[in-house]
Amino acid sequence: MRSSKKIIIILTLFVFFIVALYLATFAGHDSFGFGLLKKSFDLKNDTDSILLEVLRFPRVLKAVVAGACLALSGMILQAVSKNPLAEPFITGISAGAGLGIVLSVLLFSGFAYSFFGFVGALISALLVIIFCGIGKFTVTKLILTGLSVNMFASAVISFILLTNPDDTYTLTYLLTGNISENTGISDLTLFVLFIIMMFLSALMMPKMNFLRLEDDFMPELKTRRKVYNVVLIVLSAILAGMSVLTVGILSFVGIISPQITRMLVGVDYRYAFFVNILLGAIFILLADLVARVVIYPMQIPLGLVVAFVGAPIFVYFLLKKGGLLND
Amino acid sequence: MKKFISKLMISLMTVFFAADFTEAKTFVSMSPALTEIMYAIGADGDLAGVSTECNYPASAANKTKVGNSYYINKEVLLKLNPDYILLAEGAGSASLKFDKLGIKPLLYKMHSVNSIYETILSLGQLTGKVENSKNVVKNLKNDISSAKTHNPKKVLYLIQLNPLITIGNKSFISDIIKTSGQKSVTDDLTAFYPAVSAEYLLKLNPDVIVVSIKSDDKLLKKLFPNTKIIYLTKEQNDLINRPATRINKAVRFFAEL
Repeated sequence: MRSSKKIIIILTLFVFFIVALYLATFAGHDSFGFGLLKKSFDLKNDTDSILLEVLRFPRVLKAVVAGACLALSGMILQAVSKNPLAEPFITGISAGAGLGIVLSVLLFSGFAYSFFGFVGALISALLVIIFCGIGKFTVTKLILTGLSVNMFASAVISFILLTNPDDTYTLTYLLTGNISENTGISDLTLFVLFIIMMFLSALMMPKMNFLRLEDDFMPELKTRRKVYNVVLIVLSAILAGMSVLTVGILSFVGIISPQITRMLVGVDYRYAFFVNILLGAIFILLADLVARVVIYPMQIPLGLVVAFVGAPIFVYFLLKKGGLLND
Repeated sequence: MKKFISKLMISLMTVFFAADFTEAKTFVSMSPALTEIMYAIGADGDLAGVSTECNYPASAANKTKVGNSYYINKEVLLKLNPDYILLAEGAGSASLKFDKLGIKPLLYKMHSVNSIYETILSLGQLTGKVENSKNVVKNLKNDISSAKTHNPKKVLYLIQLNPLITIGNKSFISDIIKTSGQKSVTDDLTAFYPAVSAEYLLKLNPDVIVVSIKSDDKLLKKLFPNTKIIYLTKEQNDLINRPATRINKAVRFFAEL
């Protein structure tokens, strides 16, 4: 595929992204939000401006951060493990995050539960990486250790759920995955953190192209590969942790977005990077719009929408001619 | 033959009297509200076991604990061997399992002030405390009618904040607010305890917000910078969230907002 065509794909996705951004910010259950758009220019302290400032803007920011981080984290892990099934939470992150959320609800009645989830995610990822050993790192080890840490933490979560019936509903809801309304850090901090992480990831993308080569092709690659692998896995763990901070435990986007990206622009990660984060962000923005609007005034947990909408889309891409399974 | 007939008579009479004069029926209550009612009508002596959540009156906590709303220890239940197990609605699926143990499940629906009265009266009949139960209901009715306010405010009742859960018109709390003369702003939701979006709450424009379980309330304060927010204490929570014999106090609480 010529690079001009890839750039056109990126630009098209960017337009879609802007549309999704508009809808997620202004559309409601009864309108496409043109009235709200007009009102957003005169800053009065009425219900509508509170709606935008307190609810919609932070929500959209979190949706974008979550989508981009999940997609990127998944792509990195799929590249490192050379396994298309790898997902962001493979390093034991989901259950670690879950445990963090559960503990925050039990001990601090839900204060900054997302931040606890974030910390739990990072601790479990760190544990897995240490268990694997940085010098003797292999992907198989990573997957199996991650699996064990996940199993262990899940057992602890189930035990806590059973013994604290008063909090079961809250916990089940929070563990389903939803745009978090109190992350424990300010939205500006989140935004800055996001930009830094995206910048660091972008720097690693050309290096990721090396990982596609076989070791025998370039002998000195073998030692470098280990270093790259560890750096990339730490990076993906932080990205997955950020997704926990913003939407809780929700990983499916991390599998499908990189796959669809590969279909659209192939495996040159310099292009795939942009396509992938745009796809991830668009997907979460639209999924959250659906979650917010369909059964208003209640809302569907975002995790459910992602599964409802994501699974059929993914199967379509898998089975269609020239799709993922036919290359 | 005479002997046989007299023996038959005697045995028949024994059966007859045995049926009539067996010791009083025993109960296990899995609902704090139903436990409260049993105490209020003076039938607590027939209560063999309770759930871990039954904490009112204080002496209820001394009864044998059978489990909570998610888990019932069947072995403890079998040892107590009650005639009936009292359940509040929501435990419907659990009731199926008790028939096999030879314990009759009784499911009570308490969605409104009136259905609470009905529950009190029906428990009174079941335990032979008919007069007591009638008195309890009469006193509640009297107290409630004197408590009512005539300047209705728009009340938003939130069960909890993360996620935001409120009350719909199927909840008895909604009926208690109505009975107190106030208006529950979420009364158009046809549900018991729906999880709602912050956007929806923002548009309701309540005069006063009552929060049952407090947790991180930063968002709530940002949404309603000028609205009075009341956080319930543990005692107030037990009082208001239980469809039982202290609803007069719950009605008073809302009337005086």
